[in-house]
Amino acid sequence: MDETSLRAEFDSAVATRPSTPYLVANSVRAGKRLRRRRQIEAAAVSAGMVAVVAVLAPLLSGQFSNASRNGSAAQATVRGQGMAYVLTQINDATSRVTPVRLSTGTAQRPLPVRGVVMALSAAPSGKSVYVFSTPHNYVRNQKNYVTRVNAATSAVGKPVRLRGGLQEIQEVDIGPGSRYAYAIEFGTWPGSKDGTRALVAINLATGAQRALVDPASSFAITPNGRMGFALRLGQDVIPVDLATGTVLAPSKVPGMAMAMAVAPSGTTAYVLSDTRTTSSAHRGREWLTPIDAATGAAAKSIQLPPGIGIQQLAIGDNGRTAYLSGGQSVQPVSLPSGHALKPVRLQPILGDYLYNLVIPPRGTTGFAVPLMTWVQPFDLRTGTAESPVSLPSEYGTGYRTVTAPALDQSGDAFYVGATAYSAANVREDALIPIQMSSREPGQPISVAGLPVQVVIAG
Amino acid sequence: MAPREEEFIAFADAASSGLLGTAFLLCGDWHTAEDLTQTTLAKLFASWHRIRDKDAVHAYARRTLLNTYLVDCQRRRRREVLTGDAGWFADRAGAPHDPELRLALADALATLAPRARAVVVLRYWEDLSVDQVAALLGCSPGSVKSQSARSLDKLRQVLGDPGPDTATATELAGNSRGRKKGCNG
Repeated sequence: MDETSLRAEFDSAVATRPSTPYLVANSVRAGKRLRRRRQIEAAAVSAGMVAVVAVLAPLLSGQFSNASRNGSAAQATVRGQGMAYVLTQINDATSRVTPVRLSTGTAQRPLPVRGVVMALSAAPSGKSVYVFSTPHNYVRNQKNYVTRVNAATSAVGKPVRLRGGLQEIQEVDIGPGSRYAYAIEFGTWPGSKDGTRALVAINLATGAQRALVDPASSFAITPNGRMGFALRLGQDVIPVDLATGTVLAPSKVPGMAMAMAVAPSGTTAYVLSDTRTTSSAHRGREWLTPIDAATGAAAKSIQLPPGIGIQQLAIGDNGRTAYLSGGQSVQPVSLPSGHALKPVRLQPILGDYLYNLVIPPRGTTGFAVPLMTWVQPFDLRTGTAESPVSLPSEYGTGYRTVTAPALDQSGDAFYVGATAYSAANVREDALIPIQMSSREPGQPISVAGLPVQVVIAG
Repeated sequence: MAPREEEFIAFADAASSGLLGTAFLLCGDWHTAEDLTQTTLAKLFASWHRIRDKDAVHAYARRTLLNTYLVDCQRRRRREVLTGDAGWFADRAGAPHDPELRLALADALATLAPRARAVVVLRYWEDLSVDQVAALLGCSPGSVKSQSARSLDKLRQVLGDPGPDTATATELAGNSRGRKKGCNG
């Protein structure tokens, strides 16, 4: 046997490779769990160290006061409006959806929903929440279900079996009248070997599914529900007329489309694009392109200052200002003039933690919410960063945010899922309210399991 | 959907087939190979935000796969008795090569220690240079050369093969002097 014949044998052995259509999808799911576990472990280590310091420091200084025993600062009473539904992960095969009445800050019994919940979405009317679940936390089947929950009473309806579509439902928007849901689904079409991510329309009454845009990475709907926009990451944006279900011609943007947001007025969608390539971490030029929500036509692009490295995009100030979070700052951009305004310098953080943005419909304070133990308010008028607001826990180690924030129905408070650790590394999961006007965190509302998503309705 | 996740999926779609093949040659059955590849990709996903040089990600993936395989071998050794598993060649009745040779080769490969098997697969399937294999396994190039030569000799003995010509033997044996760190499994 020589090298050549050995190589030939290897080649012919590998040529019988079986079809593995779920390999990438399963890897992504396993990778997400692994990443979350690592984040939790890292938080546990740092929290444990902080806890030790928190306990030892007062002892050494002889100032072991009631305050240090019972937690740090007194927490404000936050009376939110509506019902929050918190999706939590107990383990790989178990999840829960816990309703929380925001006016009283009390968690109710978890919803009796079939299977493992993949995503939640609230109807635009606020009257219903839809729960998308699968019997097993493994994407080898397509037996997914959608279950309607009455947001006023938390009564759970009969599950509707979804037919067609892909294996994993990742993000969902509910269309006008709650007739259709528009989901970004991930998996493999029947008869295909290649995994994909596609925009799928789900008939909420019958469970029938129909692919609208494939591939598609994210989706946004105008507030009036007439038009939707499917982002094809690294390519362009495709407008979808939701009244007729018609997919329109792509809206061309310079570079590669990376993120988008719809203005609260619903007249314009904004697409962020850049020249970044998948083969290099180098970031090049970045643009913000307005798209007419009625026609899908792209207007003149705004070129952004270099080096922002956008992570999130939000539109505020009655549609006059775009806020782009990236790196260690928030970059406001005046949309009428197309000029970048003074960047908001945030408290530096280690690593590459995602900053979520909370831009309220009214008020003058926005919030940057990194995956840290604090949130940072900033003045929307002057672009000035204020002191970070820490999220204290009874252990004194602080809650670390782990979900995207959700605004309550009044728009005066937002809620974020978070975890804290005791010195003995016991994890405490909670929903944390933040009153935006007073910049104060409220009493944490305990939930069972690691928070994954927070949806507010009612 | 985060841009990084899209980047990862694009990479995984392109690389999973090659990784699966390498994993299969390392472990000898497709089910374990799929598990190894999935574990490798999951680890990569969890660390994706830290990988700055996306051009080097293939090499990073290969190293992760190799480490996963070797750790898996250690765990299996504690709880299983390894047997020669010919299944990975046996189900290919229509393949153009000699079926008896394939079965025998499978048996022979199964007799190699995990790291020796890794050397053979990396050298003759992945077509990596001696230096690249040495870097991956954390041993000296001389170790890789001697390990390659010994592994091929063992394969020939098991297969009853007369052996390579003199030039190949000399080349494979190479210069194993100056070895700093052994490569034995």
